[in-house]
Amino acid sequence: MEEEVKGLGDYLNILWRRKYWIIIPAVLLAIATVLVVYSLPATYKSEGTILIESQEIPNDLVRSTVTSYADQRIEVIKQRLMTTSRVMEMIRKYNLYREERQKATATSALVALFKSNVSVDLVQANVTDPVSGRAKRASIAFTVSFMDKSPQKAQQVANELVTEFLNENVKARTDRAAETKDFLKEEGDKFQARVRELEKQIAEFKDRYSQSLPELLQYNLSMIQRLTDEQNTNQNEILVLKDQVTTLSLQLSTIPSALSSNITNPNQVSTSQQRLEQLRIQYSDLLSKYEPNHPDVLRTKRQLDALEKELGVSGNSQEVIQAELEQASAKLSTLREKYAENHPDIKALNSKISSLQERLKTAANADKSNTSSTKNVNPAYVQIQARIASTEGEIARLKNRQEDIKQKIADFEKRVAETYQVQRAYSDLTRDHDNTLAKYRELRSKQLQAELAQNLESENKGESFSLIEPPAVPSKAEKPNRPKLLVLGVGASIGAGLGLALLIELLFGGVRGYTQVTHLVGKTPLVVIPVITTSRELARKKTIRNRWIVFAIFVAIVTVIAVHFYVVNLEVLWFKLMRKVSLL
Amino acid sequence: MDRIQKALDKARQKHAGNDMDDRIKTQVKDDVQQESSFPHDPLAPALENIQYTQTKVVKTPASTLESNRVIAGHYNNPQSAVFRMLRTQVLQKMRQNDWQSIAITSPTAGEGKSLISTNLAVAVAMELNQTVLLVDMDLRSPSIARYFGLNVEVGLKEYLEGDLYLHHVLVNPGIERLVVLPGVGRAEDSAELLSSPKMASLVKDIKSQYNSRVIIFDVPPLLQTDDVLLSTNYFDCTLLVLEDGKNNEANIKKSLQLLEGTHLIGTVLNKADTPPSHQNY
Repeated sequence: MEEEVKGLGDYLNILWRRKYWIIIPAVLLAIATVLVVYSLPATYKSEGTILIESQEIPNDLVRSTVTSYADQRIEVIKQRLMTTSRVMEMIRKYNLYREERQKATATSALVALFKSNVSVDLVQANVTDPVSGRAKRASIAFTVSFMDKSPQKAQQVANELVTEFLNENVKARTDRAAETKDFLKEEGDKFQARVRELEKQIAEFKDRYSQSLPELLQYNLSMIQRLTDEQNTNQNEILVLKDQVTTLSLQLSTIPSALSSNITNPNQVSTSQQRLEQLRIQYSDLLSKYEPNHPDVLRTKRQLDALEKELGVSGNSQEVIQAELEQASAKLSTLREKYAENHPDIKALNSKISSLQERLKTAANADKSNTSSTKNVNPAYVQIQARIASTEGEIARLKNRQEDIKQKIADFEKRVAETYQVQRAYSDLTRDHDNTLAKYRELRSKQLQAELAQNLESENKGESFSLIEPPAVPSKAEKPNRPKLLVLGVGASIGAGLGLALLIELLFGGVRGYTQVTHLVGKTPLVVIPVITTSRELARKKTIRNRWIVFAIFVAIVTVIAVHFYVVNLEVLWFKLMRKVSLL
Repeated sequence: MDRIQKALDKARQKHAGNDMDDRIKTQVKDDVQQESSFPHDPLAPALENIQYTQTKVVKTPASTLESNRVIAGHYNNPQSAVFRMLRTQVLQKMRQNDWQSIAITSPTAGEGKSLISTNLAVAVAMELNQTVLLVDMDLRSPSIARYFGLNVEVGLKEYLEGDLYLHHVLVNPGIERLVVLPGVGRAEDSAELLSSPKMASLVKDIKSQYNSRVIIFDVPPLLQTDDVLLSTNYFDCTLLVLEDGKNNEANIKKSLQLLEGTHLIGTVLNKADTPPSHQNY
């Protein structure tokens, strides 16, 4: 059994057969639609257009703090305006929805109603993005509209909404700019305090480790080098001086200590005195020129000391004798172990000791009566003795110096050792400081920028909203779009009729037509007999049709007259029609 | 029995000279003899001038037939051609198979069985060599008489129930070679009547007596009664009338199933909106 395929003709047949199922519901529904459409209350819409103007000053020069897209901002403002409290305020102000309020409708319902009557629509255009150079969609303007049953109220509320939009935008922008600036300023201040704190820390640190600072490392190392050199030099000098002392001691032992006073050369004395004076002057002279440890100064001092000893004090001689005495007694004791008491060496030593003891006594006396005794001593002896004394003094001084240097070297070495540790902490601190300082500078520059941006906003030079078309009082109802609804309704009515007809056909339609019967029975029908009409029926049909034609003509005439008098003047309609046609 | 009596009186008046009181078979036989004296011969002109001596003749005006949609005899009506086409097809089949009687039925009531039966009978009767007996076997709602505008008082029901002779109920509606066995009133016990021995003998009688005739039975709808099933023995073949768009598939299938035992000559699609193109002439 193959399926029957219905052709267009079959469908037309069905429609014709079920014409009353189509026409009656369609007409009834169409009438209902007309009634409903014309009983709907009219709603008026007032609309204002706001242009989104881009920043006047190029973005490269002054960057605005408001970077969000206009769409987003508009949405934010809308949300801000659509809060319950503000909506209720507006409803009360313009006395909107009086009926609903009398019915004590819930606030939320009123707010929802208000919101449903507000619409914010963005007007978009294709623009070229200055950054990427590509075309994109951007909002260039937006419309704010309000719908109400009263055109005046619609206009008033739309006006209010537009104003609010403009104000909110300015407020939001300036607030934003001020906030940005304040924030940056606060942050800058914080960083300033930190920088100060770090600087203080660095200063304290430098103070504490002033001698181990990395920048002093080179100096410390060179100091160690120098001191070591000096130490070595001193060591050598000490050795040389010790040799000298030994030599001089040997020399001294060959020279008799006392001489007849005539040998004494007063001239020599006087020259020595003169030389002493000369040296003193020279010394003070040098002191004024050089440091006390200058080699020249030191040398002069040494000479001066030696000369003073030579001339003034022979105090050392007593100790020298004492030492000799001790030396001799030591030698004696060793000799006594070897030899008998009457050995010439021992005898000689004994006499020497006794003489030395005697000398010691005279020396002690001579110390008391300084000047008188010196005159009696051998000048050469004294001279050598003085030289020994001065040399020994020099040795002692050098030894002291050596100690001093040792300590200093240790000190400097300690500093050098400390340096590395100090350096680490110090570099930490300086790095912190540098970073903080850089951040601080950045913040300050940003703060300046923000201040500039604030000025931009406050002087309305940034991106701004400007009203290009204020809301007007609407003259035509926005809703309902009666013609459209009417067309839709009538269309739907016809559709419903057609649907009903098809449904009826589907549910109750039987086997129909020559082909279907053939298909089902397996044989073609012998004949197909149409509905037989009698001549009387034909005649009656004719009369009925004639009556319908007359009636239709009558209705048409009445309609035209009614349109002319009640809807639109026919002449006007004619011209309108002609214009439409010519437009085509 | 008043009604019947009246009918009888009326018949008596019409057939004056016949002894109505003497209800013997000879009368019927006379009638048959007269009928059968014209043997079935297509070339024989005898059939042209049948004088119904015992059958009532009621002249029906052509306008009545037309207004009752019995148009098969009206050559000037373009709608009549279709019935002649039907007649030819039916007769051809019946002659091929040597069938004498045909039943016209439909799945449900009101599909136009009776009208088609009537028109077919008229069309057949128009063939000069063919006589027709049209039997209204729809005892529940007989309508043949109405189509011919006959005002009969006795019909098949009365014949089956009562004691009437056949010639009392047969009527000639003024069309030559056409005799009608009409029905009157409504018989609730149609099934019993149809299955009665009298019915069987009637069918046997008319078949044998009207040897050269085509007998057309207008029977009740198939699906709504069991009458057709009870009477399938009485006729040789069937014609199924289908009203365009009235029956669904199941009905038609069921009807065909019910008619499986009989010879189905074919179907007639009635009350069609658009006749197939081959039929437009």
